[in-house]
Amino acid sequence: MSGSALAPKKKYDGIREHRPETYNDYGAGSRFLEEGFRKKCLKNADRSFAQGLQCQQINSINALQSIEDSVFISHSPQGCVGCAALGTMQYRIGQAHRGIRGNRTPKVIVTNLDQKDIILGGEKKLREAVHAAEDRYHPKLIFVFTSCASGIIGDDIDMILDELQDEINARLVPIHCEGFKSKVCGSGFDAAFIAIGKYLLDKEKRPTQKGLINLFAPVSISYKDQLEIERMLNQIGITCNYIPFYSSLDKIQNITAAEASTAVCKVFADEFMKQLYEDYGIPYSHTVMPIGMRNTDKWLRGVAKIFHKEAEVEAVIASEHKRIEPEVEKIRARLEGKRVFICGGTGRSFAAAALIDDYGMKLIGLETPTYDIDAQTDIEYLNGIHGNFVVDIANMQPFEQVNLLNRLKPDVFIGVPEWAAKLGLPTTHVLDMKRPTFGYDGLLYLGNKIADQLENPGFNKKLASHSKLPYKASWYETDPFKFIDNSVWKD
Amino acid sequence: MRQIAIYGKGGIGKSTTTQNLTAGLVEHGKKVMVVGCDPKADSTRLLLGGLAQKTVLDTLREEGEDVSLDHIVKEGFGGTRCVESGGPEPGVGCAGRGIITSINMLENQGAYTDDLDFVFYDVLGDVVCGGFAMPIREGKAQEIYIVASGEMMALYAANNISKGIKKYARSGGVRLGGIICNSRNVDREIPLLRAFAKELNTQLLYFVPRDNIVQHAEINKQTVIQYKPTSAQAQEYRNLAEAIINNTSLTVPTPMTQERLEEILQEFGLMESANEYQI
Repeated sequence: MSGSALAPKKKYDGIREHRPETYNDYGAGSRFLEEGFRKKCLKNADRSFAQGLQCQQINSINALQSIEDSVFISHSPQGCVGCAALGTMQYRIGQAHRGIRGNRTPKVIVTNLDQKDIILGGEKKLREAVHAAEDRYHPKLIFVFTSCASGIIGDDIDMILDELQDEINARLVPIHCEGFKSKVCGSGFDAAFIAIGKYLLDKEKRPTQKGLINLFAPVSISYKDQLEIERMLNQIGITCNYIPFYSSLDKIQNITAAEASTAVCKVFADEFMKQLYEDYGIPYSHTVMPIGMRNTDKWLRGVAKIFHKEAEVEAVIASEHKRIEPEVEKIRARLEGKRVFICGGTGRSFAAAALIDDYGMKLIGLETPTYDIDAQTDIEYLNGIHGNFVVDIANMQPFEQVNLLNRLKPDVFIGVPEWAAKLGLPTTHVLDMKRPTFGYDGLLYLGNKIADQLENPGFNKKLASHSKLPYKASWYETDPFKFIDNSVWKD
Repeated sequence: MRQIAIYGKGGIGKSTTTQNLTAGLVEHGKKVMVVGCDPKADSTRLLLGGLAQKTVLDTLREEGEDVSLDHIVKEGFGGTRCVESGGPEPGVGCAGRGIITSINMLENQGAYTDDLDFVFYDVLGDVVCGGFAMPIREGKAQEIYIVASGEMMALYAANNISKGIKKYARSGGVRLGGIICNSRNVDREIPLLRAFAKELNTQLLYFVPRDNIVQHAEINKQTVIQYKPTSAQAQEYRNLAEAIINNTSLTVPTPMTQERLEEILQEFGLMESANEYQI
């Protein structure tokens, strides 16, 4: 039947777990992981105990919170917008870095569904919230996020917004991000992109602007990183439409005018770029995250290829290498042979693992929230360099991490350092959303930072002597993966 | 105080049976409260002589959480206390959560006074979600009666409801008191229901025959006992009340598979020459 008009055309529903071979829970060696994935023996094991997890709504809100002239309505009980504080902090810092005067705070309205609304329906409060958003702020865009509560009682947000659109000037955009829908943070971003595609883009492609690329970047990218990416691309005559962070309705609508698309994170906007290709014929480059020499080269070549600038990019790469290699050598002397544990987002973990290769460090453990075919490519590469190391597929899960760190005793911890710092390990953040990590300049910055930490770990040592993690001594003696039901893949 | 929940397939006659039975209990000198757990709020119509009552959730909607009992508890036939939980308008919100809320509110407001002999929860249809199981969760109804008939779907629903009861019997003290047959004049109805009840580890508590007088009483917004105290059907409800008062058989049900249920229907539910039906 394939190819016939009757064959069902599958549409991505925004839930990453529904994509084939996506895993959230694993704890064992990297070789076993690579092999298990290749043989399709890997199954989604389940964690019988977990310490905290992001929900889908958090990521959908965060993905859009810095768009100009927008109001964000969370159709939920109050607690759901607790997470907005994180996005607000990032947004305010991002504005400061960008030198924006009159620092703004994202305008978030929560409909505050209470017991009564759960029983009788929250429709009225949503209508009121939309009117309040329009009257107070006169925005161009009003995003409405669903929640677990509104999803369970089945409030028909699409219909309500459709009816309201006639009386509201702002564009109303419903985003279906019920928190319980997915454990993979990428799903939250996908929900936001699905809504952008459906409600904001014109059906007709705008006239193509020569040399313009859609650069999809998640909220965790610092301004320095944005500048580095733009600097690198400018050298081969490409200009960026940076989306959706710090963008606007106009920039978003201009997505269809681009010559090509790419993302700086492997798990961000990958489905959306596919959709742009299918709907508007905009080609895209989906390679790696540009952290470390090898990955940055690869990322740049990927982009250059779609613009047919292979020769130009080689010249840029060569000159960049020439510029930074002496610096890298100096840093390498300070870091060579050090044992590293890495924990970051899905894209970041693997990218950071590639970076340590530039400095001749040894990977002994890696924590990543999800695992899929993209991650498999990275693991194959890393196994080739580092041999077998421990992989914990976990969205943070501090109890597993501290147990592992206590066993592996790495010299260096790279990633989200909340708990490692309290163990007194020298730590370097790669996800703080403020400092450089990308490209050639980012490589130098990170290298120096790791080396400085290693040579001067006083702060973390002091921190460790004054703070205690909440685990009993007996937990550190226990198998760190005790709560992962690994019987499904350990036959 | 005995707290009793009545379940059964939608339209089987739960509300009618509950109210007529309540009238029978009142004649025995019992003090009874009926809590309607249906968004349609029609579980106390016959006792009150009309629908004019404000529901718990109407009051919550209009006046907020601080609800006084006087507003929601109305006195009906023979001094019965009548409450309707109510619910959202059709197609919005969550009726299940409404039942949880209103039963908790009744409790907090002290609606269950010590002078009551019986509290009946008249629950809509099946145990479709957690909210509709509220009356049988811990501390609420201890006894359940399922209203059924010899019709396949009624038995199917009864079996399903038993699954819910079994679940809560494990943690709480809730037990099944029996099946009340509200007859539909189905072939071999009594043997079928006996066999079904036996398989479910319970009893056929009472067989209420079909009689048009029930319909007449309903049109007149009255229970049969009030409408025609001397009728045979009034006596049936008195007997049902007595059966409830004297019932000591409370069990944990053993719900059956769909296949087993169909076997029982095959065995008892068909006349020998089923194809003789003619219009």
